Amino acid sequence: MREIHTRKIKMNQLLILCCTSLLLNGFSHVMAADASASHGVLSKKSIYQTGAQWTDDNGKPFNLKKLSGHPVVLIMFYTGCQVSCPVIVEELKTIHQALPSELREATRFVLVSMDSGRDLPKELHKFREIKRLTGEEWILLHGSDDEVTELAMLLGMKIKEDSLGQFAHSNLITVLNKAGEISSQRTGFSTDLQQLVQAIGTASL
Amino acid sequence: MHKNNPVKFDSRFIIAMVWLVATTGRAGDARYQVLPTEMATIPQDVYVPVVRGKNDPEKIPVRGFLLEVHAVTNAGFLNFVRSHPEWRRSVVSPIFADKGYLAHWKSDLELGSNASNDAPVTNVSWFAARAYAKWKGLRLPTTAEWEVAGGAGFDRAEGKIDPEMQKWINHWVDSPSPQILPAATSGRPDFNGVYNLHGLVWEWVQDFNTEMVTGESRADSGLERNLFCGAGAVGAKNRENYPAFMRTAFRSSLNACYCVGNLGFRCAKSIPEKSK
Repeated sequence: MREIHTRKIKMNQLLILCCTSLLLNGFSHVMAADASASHGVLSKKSIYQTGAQWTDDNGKPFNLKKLSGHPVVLIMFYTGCQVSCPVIVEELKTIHQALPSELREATRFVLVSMDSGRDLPKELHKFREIKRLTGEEWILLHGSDDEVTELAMLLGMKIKEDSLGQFAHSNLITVLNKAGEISSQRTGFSTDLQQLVQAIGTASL
Repeated sequence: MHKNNPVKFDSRFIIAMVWLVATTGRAGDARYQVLPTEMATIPQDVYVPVVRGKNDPEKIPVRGFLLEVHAVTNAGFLNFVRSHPEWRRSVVSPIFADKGYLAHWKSDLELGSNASNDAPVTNVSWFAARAYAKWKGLRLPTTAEWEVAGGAGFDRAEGKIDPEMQKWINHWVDSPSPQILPAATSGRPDFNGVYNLHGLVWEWVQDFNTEMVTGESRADSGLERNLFCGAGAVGAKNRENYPAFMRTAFRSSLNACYCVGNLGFRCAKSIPEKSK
């Protein structure tokens, strides 16, 4: 009796083992995808999943994943821009002031330079001081050509450097939600900044 | 379980189960041998953009470089997907490829009857093409590089004065895309030994997002000033080259995550500078 009982247990164990193996194999592609995300599992729609390495205007490495949990207003700009970027930065400052205090503390305004060659961290820091972008809510980033291109592509942003070192580029403001997914975008200019304030509110949900 | 006939789990059964587990999930086309793609040397040249802003250079010098002689094929891309599970159709991130990604394939790892091994792969996004190129230690060509390569004729270096090439290009631009594409190496190679830069599919370039053409035909219009900073006075300088203008307009309409049924790609490589 004991012998048969032992065999039965072994058989059950083997059955469980084989079934689990088959199931795991079926799920392996999902696991492979998850394995590539780091600790906090990023949403598949999050632009933070590229793992791109940026440098902030203090020269410190900055991974966009740090922005998780915050609604984000993101633009690509360059310090030498004479036309749109100054206007957009002023708009961002206005929006920053217009946010209810809790939202103002939580929201991050991220300015990424498209001019990898000239807008090194020192330049970005100068820009921060000139424009009076005080506080940790303002983040200014420098990245390599490859990172800049990848981010521009993720945002749907067009950029072209001309022969004078000026850039033609889209006028684009992107709002990201707390998971780093694109929540909304504004192309072109608009006098209605309330829409953007509302968009940030939505992104904070 | 019958007391009198206990099931025997002998080693043959275990081996069979292990084999079954190991082979599940690798269903797909029979292993199709994909040889590394030959690369042609595209000699140094000058690219004259058909559309440019007033401060954009009129002529862009292009150093000689290497270009794959044919577009990346379905079989080639399948090999990439096999070794990069995150690029399977059913799990790819939607920010890297839209819903049309590999739509013409039967499944994640099966080409099926609508996608022949040797046809150019299409329905791949810029991100997917870039990841494939990186995997091969290559990159996408720039617009200038692609256009310089595309300027070759069949029997002579300059396609503009090659009537056979002009006929071929204009015929393709006017024809609808076939449902099932022929092989990437079909037809005649051009003067540099390259197949089908024209005549099969549109192709991704590294910097397609430098094209800022709106539907507005007037230069420096209000629409362009609103949408773009600094792109005023963009105009078509060379109206005779209609196919080139078509390509510019097409690239301008793209987003990096788009997967289009007649848009594929091929890879390029820089030629290292000779040490002095």
